[in-house]
Amino acid sequence: MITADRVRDALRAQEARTPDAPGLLGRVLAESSRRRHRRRTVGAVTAVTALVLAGGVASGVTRHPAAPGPATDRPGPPVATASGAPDPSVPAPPRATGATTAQDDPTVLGADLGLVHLGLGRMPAPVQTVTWTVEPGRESATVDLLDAGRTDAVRVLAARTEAVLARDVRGAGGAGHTTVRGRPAAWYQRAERADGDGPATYLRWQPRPGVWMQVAGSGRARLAAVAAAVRLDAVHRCPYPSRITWRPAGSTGVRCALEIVRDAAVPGGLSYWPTYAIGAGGQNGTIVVSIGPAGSATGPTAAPSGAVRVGAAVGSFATGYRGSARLWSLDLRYPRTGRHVSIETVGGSYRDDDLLRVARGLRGVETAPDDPSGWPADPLR
Amino acid sequence: MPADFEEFVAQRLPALLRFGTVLCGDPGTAEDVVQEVLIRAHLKWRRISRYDRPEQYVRRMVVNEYVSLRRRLWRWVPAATVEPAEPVPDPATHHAERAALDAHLALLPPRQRAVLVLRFYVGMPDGEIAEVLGCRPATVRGHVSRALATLRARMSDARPVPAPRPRADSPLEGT
Repeated sequence: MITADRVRDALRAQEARTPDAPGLLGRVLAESSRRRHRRRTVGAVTAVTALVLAGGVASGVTRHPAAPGPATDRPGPPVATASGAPDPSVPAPPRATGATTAQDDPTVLGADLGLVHLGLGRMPAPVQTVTWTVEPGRESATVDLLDAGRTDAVRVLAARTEAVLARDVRGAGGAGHTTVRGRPAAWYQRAERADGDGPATYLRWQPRPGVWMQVAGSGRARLAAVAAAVRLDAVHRCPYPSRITWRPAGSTGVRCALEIVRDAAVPGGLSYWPTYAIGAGGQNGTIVVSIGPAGSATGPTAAPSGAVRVGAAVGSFATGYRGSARLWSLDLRYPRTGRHVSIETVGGSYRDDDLLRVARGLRGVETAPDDPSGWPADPLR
Repeated sequence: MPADFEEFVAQRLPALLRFGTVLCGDPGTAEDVVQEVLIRAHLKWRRISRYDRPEQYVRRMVVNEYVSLRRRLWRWVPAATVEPAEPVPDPATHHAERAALDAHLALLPPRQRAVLVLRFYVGMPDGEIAEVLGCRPATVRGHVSRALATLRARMSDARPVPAPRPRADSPLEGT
């Protein structure tokens, strides 16, 4: 006779088979880092696509009435940003020597996907991750600050025109004024959105004529401290470890990003996650190619059915929806180094065949070092 | 409750793995399910850590992942046959019956198994089980009743125990 007691005993007896699962926490942290990276990558590229579709640095966006007035062309204090030696506590890409800084010429901002003209001095909290990004007309650094065991993201955005920054504060209202290194600055505030996105605070100012800056995140004191640490006196490279030898007709680079993660488990204490996006504008969308460091292929990438072989790599396709946009992704695992490569497209007209052609055209994934100082700057050359 | 994710995992992982093993009936599947759930929990830990009972929320994620996984597995797990427990003299009879009961528990639809685990192993009241599974308490009682009836019928049946095979979801699912 089956009784509740017999069922209870049978279930309790199965406890004895509980696995030890050593290393599970490490696998969890590595895989969640990889997914967060992919999510951030595709989300940002959607924004770039919108920018491209809207005609780049569009002029039709009206300035918020609470925004600070534009700095005049008079010399005045030339640049209101931090300066001096770079702060080693903020992981940065390799330095570019001999390149013009945004402090000297603001038109270099977002003009070359291979160069980052944005810098950060000492942050108000320990830095866990920084994602450096260059897109046409703007550059950004998203910093994950450690605070009481949690990470809190602050995004620093630089552009040549205020209209580019205004896109990021859609739905936010003016919330007062302050100064950043003597320059007038404006606060904006956005309430929690219906989709669950939390409230956000923005601080916008113009450190010099021709450059607009915006810091977004939570906590005014923290944002003010990050704003005071922004610098425009150095140039870094946005390198990429692989060559992309095939891309859809008419497409070109629309985004370069390098995510640098503090990771005590790797030599040097930092791991590097580069991303490059290509697109042709219009309704085509973009294709995003992200490359993880050696050993990053922690999750299952080859399904029992539908496995794809690309050279030595094994992978699988997935499709679904991100929001209302159709998502295609191809995950590849390179067996010799354990590198993970993710190729994705969201919305637009590209499909799995395009992702496969891009994958087949990748060169140097297995042979590239993990240290980005030896990577080339332009994967399309 | 620890606000730090790694501290949470250090404190709760053994209990989550035990729960997962009993729920899934298989240690390998349990490890996969718990790992997947913790990855998702880590991605939204800022929000989860603000809840009054983060562990309950994570356990709910484990149940949902298990139910979802079992539904996917129905599509491709090959058919097989588990030999019946032979009637043998005591004390082996007890072990054979236990093995048969384990096999029949493994064949229950995932929600019915989850309800049995939550009620008889965890000791949750029906109201909380309903909250975890997103259904009404009456539905929970229905799952328990049908699961026990199925076990009684199968344990008194001398035929071999069929292993999971491709089939449509049970009509008892999703109620």
